[in-house]
Amino acid sequence: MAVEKKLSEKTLKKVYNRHYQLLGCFNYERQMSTGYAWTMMPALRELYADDPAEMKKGVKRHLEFFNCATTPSPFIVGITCAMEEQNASAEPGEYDASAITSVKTALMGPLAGIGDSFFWGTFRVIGAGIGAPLAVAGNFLGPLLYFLLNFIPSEIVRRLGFKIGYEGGSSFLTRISADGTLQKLTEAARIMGLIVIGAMIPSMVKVNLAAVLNINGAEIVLQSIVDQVCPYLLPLLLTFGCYRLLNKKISGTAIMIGLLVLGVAATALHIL
Amino acid sequence: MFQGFLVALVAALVYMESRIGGQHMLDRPIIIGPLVGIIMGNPAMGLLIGGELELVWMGLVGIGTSTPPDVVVGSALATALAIKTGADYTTTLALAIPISLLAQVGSIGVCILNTAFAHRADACAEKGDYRGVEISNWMGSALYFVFKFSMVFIGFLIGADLITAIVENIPAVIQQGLGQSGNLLPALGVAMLIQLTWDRKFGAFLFLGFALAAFLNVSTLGAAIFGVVIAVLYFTMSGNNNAQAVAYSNESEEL
Repeated sequence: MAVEKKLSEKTLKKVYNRHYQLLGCFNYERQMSTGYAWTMMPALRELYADDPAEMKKGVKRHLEFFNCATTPSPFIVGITCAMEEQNASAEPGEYDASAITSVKTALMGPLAGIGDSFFWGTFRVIGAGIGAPLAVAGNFLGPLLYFLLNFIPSEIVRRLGFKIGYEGGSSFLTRISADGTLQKLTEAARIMGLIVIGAMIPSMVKVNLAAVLNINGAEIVLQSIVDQVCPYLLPLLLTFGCYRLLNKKISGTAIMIGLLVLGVAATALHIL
Repeated sequence: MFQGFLVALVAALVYMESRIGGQHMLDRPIIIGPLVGIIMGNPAMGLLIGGELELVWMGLVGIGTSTPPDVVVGSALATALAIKTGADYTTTLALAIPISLLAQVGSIGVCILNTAFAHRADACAEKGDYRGVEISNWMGSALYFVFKFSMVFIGFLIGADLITAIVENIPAVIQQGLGQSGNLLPALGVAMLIQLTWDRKFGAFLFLGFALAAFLNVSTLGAAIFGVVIAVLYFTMSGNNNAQAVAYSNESEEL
């Protein structure tokens, strides 16, 4: 091994701060590739300052296809920094730089899945579930809570992820996925998400039947009959109706238009 | 005009958080509604519309490569125009949906056009122009900004008269009906969330959440707290490591 090269604290901080722009040039072909090169640039400049050939290879390496959820991405960026250090410290031909791309590619899929289920599927859902009803009720805490519930967990994961990725690298991920911790965390988040989503149905979907049956002069309010069976039964059925349609690959937009028409038609017919 | 400029600027800046600010899920109606409300001089109305639109659209997310209807342009314009013309929420909603679909085409366009900057970055790297690689990323961001800004600004300029005309000509029964539609639409939002998180193994928890709210009148915040407790219990009490899992499977074999 030649001179051991280490990235300075300042450069690491720069790289971390640049990861926020990963989606800057998102496009259908290479997705976050340009953003990844932008993120890694300070590290590459420092490590390959006196080796133009390696510098060019490095930049091209990070211009390759990349796509992941944003929140777990700093973990991968951290690992990449550590691997670039090893590459820069090794004698020519001693380190297989294609391993850097392999690690990035191997991690981005699973981490995108975990990141999406936590941040799109759990924190955002809980934030919207708590925030939106408050906003509708005229309470400015609604958007504020939504903001905090999304911002704080995401920032913690980013900062810790970058540090752990850089220091411990992929062994950390191997460990927590081998002992089942990662899977259990994902499942726990899923349970939390499902409970909140279930609770959203009664508070957000409103179906009140206006129809009154007239049997032998006795007026029967349909809604009260339904309520005796199970309160909020109709919102539950309507929600699962939409869910089934979605599963049959009917687009959300088509269902949206269908619901608009349903609302107008049911009102015109005095059902709702 | 100046208000339109400000609304477009704020909408585009909030959107840019998802491009160059790290994407903390802020480009949503619940955030954009109140901000636009402040510019339009009616924060309370903006808050209400933002909350209502969030309920309808909370299931619409751009995961992976998919581009959903543009909720940023839709909610910014719908909020601004509703406050400007005095239209009520239901009319706004009927308006926000077509706007967001139209704007979706623009968003897809940017994701296609930005491919050019990815290629520019390749060319720059080849020449050793690394500053050029960095700038390419910002060129993509600039294009995103210009698109969002101009869609909201143009929509604001041509939208107000259009809405006034529509509001004056819609029959009362349809206006009332749209109000009912507004009550039904969150079902779609929730259904999309279910699709996102559903797992047969844990499906019962969805009904636990429903029962908490339907029978015990627990709020979503309350349900979230139950959710945290159950999630923590699940995490700490279920089999902790592989060794244990192996032990279990051995036992079952013996049985």
